[in-house]
Amino acid sequence: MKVDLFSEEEVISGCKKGERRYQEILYRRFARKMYALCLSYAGNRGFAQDILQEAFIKVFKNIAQYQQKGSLEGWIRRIVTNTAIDMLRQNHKIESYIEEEPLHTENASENEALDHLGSDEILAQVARLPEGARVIFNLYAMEGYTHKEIAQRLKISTGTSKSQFNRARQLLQNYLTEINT
Amino acid sequence: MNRFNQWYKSKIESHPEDPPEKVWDSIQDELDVDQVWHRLEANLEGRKRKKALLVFSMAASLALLIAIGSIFYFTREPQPEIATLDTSPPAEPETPESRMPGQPADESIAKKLQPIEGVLALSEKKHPSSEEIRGAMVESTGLTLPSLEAPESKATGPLPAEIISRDSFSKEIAQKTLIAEILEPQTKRKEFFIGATGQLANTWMLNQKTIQGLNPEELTHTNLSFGKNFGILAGTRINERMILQGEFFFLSQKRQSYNEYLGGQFVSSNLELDYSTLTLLFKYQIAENSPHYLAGGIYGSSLKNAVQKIESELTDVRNEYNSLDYGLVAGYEYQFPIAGNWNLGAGLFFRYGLKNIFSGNEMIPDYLNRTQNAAFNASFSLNYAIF
Repeated sequence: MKVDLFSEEEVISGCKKGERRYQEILYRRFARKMYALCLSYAGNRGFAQDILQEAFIKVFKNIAQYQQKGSLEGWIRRIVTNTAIDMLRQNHKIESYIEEEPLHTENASENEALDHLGSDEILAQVARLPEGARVIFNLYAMEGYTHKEIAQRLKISTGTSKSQFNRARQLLQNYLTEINT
Repeated sequence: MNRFNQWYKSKIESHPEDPPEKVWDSIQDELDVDQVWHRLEANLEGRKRKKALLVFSMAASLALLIAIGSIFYFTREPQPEIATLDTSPPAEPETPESRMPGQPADESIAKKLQPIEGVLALSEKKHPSSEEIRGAMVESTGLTLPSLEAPESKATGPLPAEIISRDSFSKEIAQKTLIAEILEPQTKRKEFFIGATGQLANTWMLNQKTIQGLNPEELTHTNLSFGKNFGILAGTRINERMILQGEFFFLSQKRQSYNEYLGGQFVSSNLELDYSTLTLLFKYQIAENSPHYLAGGIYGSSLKNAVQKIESELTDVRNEYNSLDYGLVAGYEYQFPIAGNWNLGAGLFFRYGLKNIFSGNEMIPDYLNRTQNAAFNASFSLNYAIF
């Protein structure tokens, strides 16, 4: 078992007091996981870093509002996701969707066949998806949002959410099969 | 389809890439914007403190130099008395009023010196033998004197020609020198000793968590912790008042116990580090023949084991702590003989580690949990003077 030198309670307490040391501990504890999340939304490293930075500033400025009812990771994750969506929207990128139904590839690989693919390769293919479709796909596949929630959050129809998700998934599978072969 | 989502999620979440350091730097910069003035103010205060600390350090260094210089000056080998005595004649005849209380009059001194005129008479002789001196002393004072056969002894050798050839004042000086040397106890100081030592230690691992834990309002509660040290020692007297002593502790335990909230529960946590420690001590005897010693020195430790026990669960944390530690030791010791060449010592020592013992882990860099060892030790030692 890995001993956590600083309990979550202690870290939160330190962050609420604005102690830089505890802020850094909190950041380092979640940075890698949240960076991966940012990469999946942003499509490139520079933008992912901007999202991560902005998100953690919000975390530290708003941590006094965290009531410790849900998990801290879940709370931070929501902030990262919302920040990613807001920043994509600010850059007018979120409206780009997949216009055409992607072709079904007959020999689309099963998950087992794709298992050897690294996260880097997968992220590179996700980055090829249009931003709007990418966000919908991530919100559904990664965050477990329902299409209704996605529709409310992105101010689109539920149907658009569903169709974009399906198209994005099909397209991603095609991309992954391409690089796999 | 759901399987694909799960597969995708697990792949992305296991992405091993850390964001570059500049992201954290930017976050810090952004957070600092709101606190510019506070930081500036703190910085100015810090500079004042640094300046005061510098002045204090310089003063402390100077005081230390003076203290060390004084120790060596006052504990150096005494020069022959004849070379340092003031040979100028007394200014005025002494009166009872001019004497200090308790100071004997010249007459009484003369009276006391009278019985050893026989000894002095011997000094007129060119080469009186030690047995002749001894016989004269026994006859005139009635004292039982040890044998003076050792040829190297200053007291038993022929008197220096310069003493013999001086005038009566010089004779008086020679007389005093001779008496002092003859009557000096013949106990020679033991020069080398070995022994065993044990310590009961109140240990502290000082870091922000344990220091904050001393404040009852904090989430963490730091508890008193105790460890044991066992080892051997060896030492030698380097001059009349100074002893150089080395100690090797096979086991030197460092413990820190605290309670903290973990997953909503107030749990007990014990950090246990076992070292082997080598200590080098300079011990200064406060006064001649005094049993009181002040000690100061350095230590170096090698980490053997490190475990953390949270409630009853034990975890090896050896990789999270540096294998070496070093620091300073200071303290006091009372030494008293018990039988023959055996001596018993009891003392109180303070040890303070200068090195950050925490080496960091995947989540916490070493500088975020800077930890230093400290201990108050009640020490007991038994030593045997070999020669």
